[in-house]
Amino acid sequence: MLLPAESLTRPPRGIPFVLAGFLIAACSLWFPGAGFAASAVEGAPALSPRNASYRIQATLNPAEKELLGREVIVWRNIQQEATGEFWIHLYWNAWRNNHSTWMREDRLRGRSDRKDDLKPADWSYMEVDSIRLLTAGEEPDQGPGPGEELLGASRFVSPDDGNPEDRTVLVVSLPREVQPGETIRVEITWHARVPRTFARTGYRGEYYFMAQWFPKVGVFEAEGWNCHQFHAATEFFSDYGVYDVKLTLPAGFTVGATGTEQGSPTRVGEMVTHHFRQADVHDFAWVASPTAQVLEADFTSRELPDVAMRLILEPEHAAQAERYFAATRAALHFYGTWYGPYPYDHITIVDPAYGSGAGGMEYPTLFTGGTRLWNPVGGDSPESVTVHEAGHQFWYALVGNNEFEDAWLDEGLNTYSTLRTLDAAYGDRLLVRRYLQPPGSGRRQSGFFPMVFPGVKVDRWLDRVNRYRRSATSDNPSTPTYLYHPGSAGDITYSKTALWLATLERTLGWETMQPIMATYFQRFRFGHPAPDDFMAVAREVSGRDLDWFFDQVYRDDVSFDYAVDSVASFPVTLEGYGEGENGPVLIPEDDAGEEDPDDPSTVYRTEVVVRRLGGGVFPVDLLMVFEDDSTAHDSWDGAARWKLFVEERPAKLAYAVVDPEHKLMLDLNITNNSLLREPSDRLPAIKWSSKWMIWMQDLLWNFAFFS
Amino acid sequence: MRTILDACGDGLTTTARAGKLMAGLLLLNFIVALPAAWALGSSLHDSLKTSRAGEGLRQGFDMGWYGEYQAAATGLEKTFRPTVMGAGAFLDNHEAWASGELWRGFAGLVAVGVLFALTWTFLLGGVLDRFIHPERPFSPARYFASCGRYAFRFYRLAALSIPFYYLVYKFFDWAYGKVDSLTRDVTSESTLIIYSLGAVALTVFLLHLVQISFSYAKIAIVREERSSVVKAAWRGFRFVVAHPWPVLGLALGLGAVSLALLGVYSWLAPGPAQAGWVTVTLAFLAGQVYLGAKVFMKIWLLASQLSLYRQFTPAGNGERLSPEASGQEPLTAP
Repeated sequence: MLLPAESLTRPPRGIPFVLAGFLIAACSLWFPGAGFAASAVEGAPALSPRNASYRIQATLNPAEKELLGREVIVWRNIQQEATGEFWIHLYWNAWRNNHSTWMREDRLRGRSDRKDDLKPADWSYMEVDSIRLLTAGEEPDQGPGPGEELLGASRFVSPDDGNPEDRTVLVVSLPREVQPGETIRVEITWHARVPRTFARTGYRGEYYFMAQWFPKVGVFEAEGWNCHQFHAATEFFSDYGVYDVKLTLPAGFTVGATGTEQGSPTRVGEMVTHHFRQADVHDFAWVASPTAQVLEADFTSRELPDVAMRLILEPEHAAQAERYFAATRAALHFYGTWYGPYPYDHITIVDPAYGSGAGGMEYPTLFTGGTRLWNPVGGDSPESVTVHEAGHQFWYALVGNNEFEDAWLDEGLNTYSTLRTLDAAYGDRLLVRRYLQPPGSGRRQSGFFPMVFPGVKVDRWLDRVNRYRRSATSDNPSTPTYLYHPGSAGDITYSKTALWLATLERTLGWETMQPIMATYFQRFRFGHPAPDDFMAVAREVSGRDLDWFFDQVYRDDVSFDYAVDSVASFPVTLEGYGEGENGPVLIPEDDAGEEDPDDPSTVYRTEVVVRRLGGGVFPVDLLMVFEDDSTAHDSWDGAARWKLFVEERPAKLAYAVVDPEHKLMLDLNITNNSLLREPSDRLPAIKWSSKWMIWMQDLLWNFAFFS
Repeated sequence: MRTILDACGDGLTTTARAGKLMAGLLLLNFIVALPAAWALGSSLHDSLKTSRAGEGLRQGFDMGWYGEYQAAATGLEKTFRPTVMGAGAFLDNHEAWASGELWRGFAGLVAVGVLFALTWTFLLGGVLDRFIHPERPFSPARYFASCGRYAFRFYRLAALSIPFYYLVYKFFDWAYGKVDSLTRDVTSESTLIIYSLGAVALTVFLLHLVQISFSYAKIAIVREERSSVVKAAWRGFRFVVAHPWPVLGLALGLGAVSLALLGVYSWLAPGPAQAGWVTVTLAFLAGQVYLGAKVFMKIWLLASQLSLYRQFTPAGNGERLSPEASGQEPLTAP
């Protein structure tokens, strides 16, 4: 369905608009029936605990950039302890002002979304107007009932950094404790100002991407409430449930959301209400675009369930629609085959509008890709971001680890899976340089005009090594992610994890790695696993003690670097005294022999010294290649600081390579992994310096322009 | 149009006769760039000579090695990237030139670039004198005497041009910032491209306007033996304003030829696959041929501008022509 831009009708402003929104809400009978049992809602067996379900009615006023909402959270205490509190995330307060924790951390990482371009109207807030604990049988939106108003019993807390000016976590004191197994219903009404995009959330022009847009309950764990403040470098954590959401906004928008639309949108005047529902998810996001078109395609497979794909595409990217679908198919196929099937029968792909800042983000059953007007085939865009975000349906949406504390469990596992998928589905990635930087983009946006360099292949894994290298020792991965330095968190979370998983794969073999990943996936689907859970599965499935590995790559920040330090080959001849019948016999100088390269009987002793330059220890192999093309293989536990390898044979060494199969993907310096006995000729250097020289010569003429 | 074609034809004839000059300029350009290329080559060789990574660079390019090399790179090494090959080299430089990034690069290279520009400024006097007086027998002594004769005036002219170029780049920063604010709510990349290209095109136009004005000022200095560079600059600017269409037409016409040459080179430019001395040399020579073509276009433009200037400033037009100027133009009072 294509809604032309001119069909967008601006809604009335101010109070009449608000009233219109609530009138629609009231008319829509949005809480029919008292029951809110998830299975009753969905009519299907529950896949998840469904202990945090939402019914939400929200109205967007684009003219005022305002969102009005009312929700009922049906929350069940699934722990063994009672709680007298109810913790709520108010994420949009992260952009309330520049004193919030998110903004402070964003400055620290030096890449505020729009540090030089923030205008007063760009800030946002999320204000709770009412919190009521509904009593049994009480219907919401029926006016004040016996339910208690709890807003007065609420307070903002900052459990992570004590920042008194952060308002992203609200704690509500309940009038009585919620016992284990007990369910409560909490009705919250709120109003919020939509931010101009921060963290993929907000608007640009008339384009809206709405994430973290409703008051959201934290996760009650055995240790208490887990409800972190919003941090610049981390994402989210929440329980599974059923989301039943009605969104009212002016006509003229194409709307996409988590879940599937229930029937046709209903229109009252200029306002249209869309009803979406999804069970067994832990978040809900939506998009509204005045220009987007909707395309549909299917994922079908003999081994996996069919999935209907819905692409919400900006018209200028029409030529890339099939690339989005193909990349999503690749993710569903490979992840599904390797780990387990995608359990929903639909997925929504959002192609974000240019400059909306919404690209590359995952939400249950919906994700945002991201592309450019021109994106040459072979450059991994939009394929990489599409596979990655589609892959998050497995690592994040289905296996719902705590992203505040252990972001590597989803981002790292997913990056590893993304790279494997891209390698399998697309082969080589080519170097693309984009020219003409868009205005105001700094380095956050690459240029408009792409040029492919067909002869230059970019190894996706080594590209990750380059990212990891710059932050290799910046943080210990076992540190809670929200305590990572915001500037380097991504390098550890995404790249280091992907690299150590690849190292594990190359050590154990895919035939062991795949069952590890699949077992972990299937065991913790719709659950909240912790790092130890993954490691326990790895130990269990591989049947090997891997603590020595995890101790280094996860519980420490050591770096790895093995190098061939020296190589030498010389004839095996004895000089000095030999053993005679009557004791030492001086060997005549003539017999000591000079090297005779033509003498096939000459035996050479080759000595290779391998060093461990990094702090990390890893067993490595050594390959020695001789001038007669023969080879020798050896191995080393890698523990000592250096080791001498000796080989005697009738040929000199040509070169030696430590870790020749490049199993240790965390090795920060691959160049020193090999050492030639004789230095190579200058051709490679001259070749590339001659190319650079042409660039330099042209540069000189560019300077001469001004003379 | 006839005027432009005549100027182009004259310029082409003049340039075609200036083979030695072209060769000299290319040699100079080569010599100035060579030490830096040698230094970079040594750095690359140090990094590659004992590693198997060298084999990767012999056969193509190795992005893994490149990441390590760049992580430890300083100064000149920082400017090395795989996109310097083929047409990428020229696109890199064009982008840096148009945005002003050229002046914000590695200070050592900027210094060499300035030195080259100053040398070119010195040589330009001789080039123009030679073009104005083709009838004189060429000798290096005469050529360099002409260079020396106009050098100081040209340097003063270059100094005078600096604020204008500075203002153009300031304009670019302002215009790009303005585009950013004007397109703050734009959600279509194509719209933003149009705005951005507009800003870039205007900047490029202004850069050329300044350059062309000062180019005609140099022509005026040599042809009319002007001693005041301020008046010469004004003369150059007045000439451009008085004859905008021929001046722009000439620049655009030859600019289009230059773009076509870049297109051809982009198509033919060797990639990274040379693995032997012969192919490496051929790839290098292909680049040199293209550079030669660029220099040819630069000289052609200059010679054509001179021809155009002559067409519009005949004798009796208030110009004080050089006493040494050809006899067909009588000396008139200023």
